[in-house]
Amino acid sequence: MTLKLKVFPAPAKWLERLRALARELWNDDINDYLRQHNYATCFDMDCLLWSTSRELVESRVIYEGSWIGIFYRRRLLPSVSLAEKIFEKHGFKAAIVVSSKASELFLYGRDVFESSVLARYEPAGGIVAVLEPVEESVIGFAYYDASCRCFRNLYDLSIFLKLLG
Amino acid sequence: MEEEVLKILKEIFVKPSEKAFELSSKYRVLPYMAERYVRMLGEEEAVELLKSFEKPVKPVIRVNTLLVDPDTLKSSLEAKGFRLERISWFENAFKIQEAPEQPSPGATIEYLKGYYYLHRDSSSLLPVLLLTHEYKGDVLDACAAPGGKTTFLAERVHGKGFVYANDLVLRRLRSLIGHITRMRVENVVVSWSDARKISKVFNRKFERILLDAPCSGEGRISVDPGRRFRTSIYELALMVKREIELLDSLINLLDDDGIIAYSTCSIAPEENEYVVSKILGKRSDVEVAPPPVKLFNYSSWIKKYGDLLFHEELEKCVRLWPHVHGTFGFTTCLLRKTRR
Repeated sequence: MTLKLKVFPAPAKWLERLRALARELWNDDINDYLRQHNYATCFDMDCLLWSTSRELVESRVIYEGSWIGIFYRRRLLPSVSLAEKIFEKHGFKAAIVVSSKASELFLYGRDVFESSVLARYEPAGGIVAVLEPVEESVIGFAYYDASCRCFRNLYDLSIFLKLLG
Repeated sequence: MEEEVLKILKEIFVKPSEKAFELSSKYRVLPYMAERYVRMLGEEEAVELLKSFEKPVKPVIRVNTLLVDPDTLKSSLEAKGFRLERISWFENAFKIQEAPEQPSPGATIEYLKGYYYLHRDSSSLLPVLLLTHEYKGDVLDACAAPGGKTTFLAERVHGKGFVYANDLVLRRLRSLIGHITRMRVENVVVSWSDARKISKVFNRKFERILLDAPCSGEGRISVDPGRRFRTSIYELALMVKREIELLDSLINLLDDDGIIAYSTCSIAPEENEYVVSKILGKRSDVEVAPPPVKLFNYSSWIKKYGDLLFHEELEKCVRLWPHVHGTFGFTTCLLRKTRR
């Protein structure tokens, strides 16, 4: 099957959505982490958002700079790298630390049951960053679903195997 | 048939002997390949080479030192059941001597966190180490996907330079982007172009270029047995033509005194000695540069093959033989652009 590629300046509403998420989850302004120019690279329906300090003048350049977000399964979310930069600066917020076994399963695309959550950094009732327990590094994002008392997997690091070959 | 390909075909054609047919049947390679091994190495060593194709090569973990310390990574992988042995000539890489049933080396949490790149073999580290020895600046990686060398180059020039990673195949570029995001590498510019036309993408010159040319892969038979029969001599001639074109066009992008590393995962002299000899014969603005550092005992490129006599300077180029070095068959030649 032919792979479709699109590279374009990140739409203002996407960037605004990322800004709103960062404010809501971490009370932080992502402008501190963005460079002057922001773009999206889409393979079929899934896109990576990236930020660079120079304006793209070469038509054949398809990616550079830092990974800031992802548009995956029709949902826009911050990148793992962006969350880690924010946590490094301000400490953890809107994050859960999960057991080793739950981390492993999460990386296979599974959800995390509340019973596997070792620690919570509030607010943790909506979208959260999921942290593994050894180094407390970000392994993906989930959202709390009260109906199953679990955190539903939004995306995780195995996206590099699935989405990006 | 295109005239140029025909000319190459005439020059590289060898008629297999009876012995070559016998070896080709016994060791399951094409007759022209067996003939070539006998001519290059003599019968006894050719058999050693053919036997080495049966031996599995162990994969190598190259640590992303931007994210983790090598010993810390080694400990955490060993706790999962891996047995790792440090590469004697490069301290930030480990050969996987044993691996547990689960997880596979490409599915550990450490891998997903970008702590290492999984190379099929250690040979691919060599051109990067030679090209960036005592160098920190921009590098063009002309045929970059899937990204092992790109991410390594980016780590080597981190803080001082960018890697311009180009490839022609979109699906492979997607993997490359996957690796640079996974490994949190931010000094890479990815482009999608035929490397022969890259001057139209980047209006600049480079001090360092890596051309890991698309090739027959004849050095990787141990992991890809299909390569035993895949490349006819005619297809080889087509590849040789493309390799000459790639190298020639990329030399035009070098700064004066800039260096290009031409490497292939092929042991075929047609794709190495022949290609570089053609370039040296055609251009007066390029010379072979010796490896700037001796990481281990390299083998030299060959001087003669069939009726072909190669350029004397080629003995400065590096060959890795599976039966000598225990790696894939791999070659690297450094060429320096001289002032006309």
